[in-house]
Amino acid sequence: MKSIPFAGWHTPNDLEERLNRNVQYMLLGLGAAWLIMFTYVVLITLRERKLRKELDRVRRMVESASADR
Amino acid sequence: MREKIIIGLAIFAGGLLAWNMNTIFTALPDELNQGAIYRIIYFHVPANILGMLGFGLGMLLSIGYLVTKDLRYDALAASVTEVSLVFASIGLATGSIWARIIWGVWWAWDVRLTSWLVCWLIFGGYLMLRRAIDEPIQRARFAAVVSVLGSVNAYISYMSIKWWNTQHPQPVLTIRDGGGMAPGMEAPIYWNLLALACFSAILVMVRMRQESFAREIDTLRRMAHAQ
Repeated sequence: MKSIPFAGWHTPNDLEERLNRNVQYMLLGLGAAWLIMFTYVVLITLRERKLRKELDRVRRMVESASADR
Repeated sequence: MREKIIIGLAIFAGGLLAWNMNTIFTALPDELNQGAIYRIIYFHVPANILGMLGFGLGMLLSIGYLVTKDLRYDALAASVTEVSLVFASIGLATGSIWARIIWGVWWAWDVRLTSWLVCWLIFGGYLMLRRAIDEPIQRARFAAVVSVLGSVNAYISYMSIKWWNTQHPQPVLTIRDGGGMAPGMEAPIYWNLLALACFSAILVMVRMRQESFAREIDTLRRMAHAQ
């Protein structure tokens, strides 16, 4: 079985530096959560805009087709 | 009416989240063993709860579709599942960042993490499947089956920390017989859960509106081809 290397080897020994790292990763975690949420909101907003445009286009197409007949 | 509900929910959820973030960052002390990083739990746990509940709700709606053949169930199932996948992504990302500090690794192949990743992949596949099939009835039927299978996996993931010894922590919330947190530290989890549940309700409503647009476009196209 492949063992997972002990990450403690790579962590800084200095207590203050470790505490800073702790805060940095907390902010990274919260930032990642907001980034994912924000990205999704942007994506569904763009999708909504695209769907509205498409709906208008298809409506006009159907109206012009029925007017021609 | 729907717009007013969305705006009302957004104001409520935004206010609640702002107040709760203030509590989390200014009133609560660092956790004794973990330090500041423990605050990730305030997003990690609510996001995963909403992900699991959403997948379960999606399964019930999918069964509703299979029983009634009403495409509105399918549209709601797709909306709920997509939003739940976003919350599951937040859960996976925040958990991984927390693990890097506490466990020393970004990822461990233990039962909880692996089953939740598999669940995420299944529901990612669910959304890809929906895009790949144009015929609405066939799409709804296949998607419903995938949703049911994925939700069984979500339940296994939920129970995995009780059924097996995992590297992932055992339940800490009192509602799951955990009781591993001080009451003052536990309450903000529920407030964040409420705020994020309101956000997810907003997102589901927006997605439902898009589903109805897509249905209308489909119907108009069929009309245009029939003329």
